[in-house]
Amino acid sequence: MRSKKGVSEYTAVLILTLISLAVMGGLVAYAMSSGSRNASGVLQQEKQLGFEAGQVVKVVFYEQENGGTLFLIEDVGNLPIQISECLQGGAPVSCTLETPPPNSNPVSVIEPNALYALFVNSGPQGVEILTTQNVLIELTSLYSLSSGTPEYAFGTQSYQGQSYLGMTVVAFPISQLNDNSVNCGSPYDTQGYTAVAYVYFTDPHPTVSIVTDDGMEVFLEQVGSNSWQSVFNGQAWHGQGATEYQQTLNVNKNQEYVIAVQWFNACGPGMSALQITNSQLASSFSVTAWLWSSSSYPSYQLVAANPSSVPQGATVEATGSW
Amino acid sequence: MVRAKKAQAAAVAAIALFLIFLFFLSAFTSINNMRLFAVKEENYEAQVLAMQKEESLCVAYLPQSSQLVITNTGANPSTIVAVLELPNLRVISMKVTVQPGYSQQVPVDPGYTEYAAVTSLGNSFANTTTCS
Repeated sequence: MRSKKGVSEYTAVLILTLISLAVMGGLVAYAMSSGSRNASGVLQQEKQLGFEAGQVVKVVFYEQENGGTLFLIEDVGNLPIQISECLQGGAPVSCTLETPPPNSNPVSVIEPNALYALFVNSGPQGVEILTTQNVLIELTSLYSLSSGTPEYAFGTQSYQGQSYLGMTVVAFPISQLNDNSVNCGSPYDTQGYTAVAYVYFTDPHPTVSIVTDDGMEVFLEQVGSNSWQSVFNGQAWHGQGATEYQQTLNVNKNQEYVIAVQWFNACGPGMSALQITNSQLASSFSVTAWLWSSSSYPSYQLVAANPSSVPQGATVEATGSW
Repeated sequence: MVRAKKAQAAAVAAIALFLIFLFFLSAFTSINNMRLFAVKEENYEAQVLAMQKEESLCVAYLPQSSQLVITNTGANPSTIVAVLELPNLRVISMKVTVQPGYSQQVPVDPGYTEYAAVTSLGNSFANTTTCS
């Protein structure tokens, strides 16, 4: 009787021990697991968070060449990066990593705080790199040498400091456009600018907002299409105080467009603000300031006939960029 | 016999408990270490992002001497890791730290239309930048 009780205790302890070891083994396997169940274990989750925070890539410059895009990138994080795959829109694309020109030697690891040239066999939009630690880094939202998103708010002195479209109005970077006195006297009564830039859209339905005193129009042309599209159809092209207009576009996502902005100020204070959502500039705005010699302003038909050029008959006052 | 088996059972139980204790100790240590790693990297990233916004350099090109004068107009020291020469991209790698309010002259190749200083925080400042 007593012997039977002893065996039973022994068996129970053995079973308990086996269960404990099995649970322990399971927990170890769960915590240490990786591969197909990435980041499922506690350790993996923490590790993933660390790598996501430590592998930060900034694009400092890019240009399109030889049917692809050359990104000049810098790892501003704390950890080196090894690229396992380049993607565009989720699909794999070929890419090569080199030291920057003029040396251009192939390398495999991106060390922090140094520049590298990444040539991706695709356009510049929607490009991502997947690191060997399974961190997905998007390159395109981080452009810096180009002017970022197409938005600005410029005005003559009385408008400066005011807020439109969530932006504070500052002086025009081309100083002549801030000169009120040229606007109301002979021989020039009207002043304006023509600004041209390249832009990509990250959504097929971006919104264009403008605030203008006096008239303004935005034109778009998909590169190579030879067909300009007027955004506001001349509705904003007339004398007025600061007035806001907004329009939603239908565009092709991730395709390069030329954007041309025409603006005029017919005597007195003037301002011009532009904001385009879901878009990314691929260049800065190349700007020409012009003067119009008659007492009125160029007709809408005249600027719409050649949107990316200074209105025919206008006198070029200055050139620059923003 | 019974006493021996009881002692055996107690010993096995003690070993099992000890192993479980060891497991939890090592698991806790590993998770804690990995958490510290994640927190350290997150703090570093937050610091970089904050300092990126505050960084400000004024870059001027002196054609007479083919020098780039880089003035730190921000509040924190900036480390220049490269100068870009454009167009026909050419990169001059370097490591030069400019203290706030001070300037540093960097030799560049003449004949380029644009020069840009790239910092360790990933910011790039072109020589057309207006000082404010």
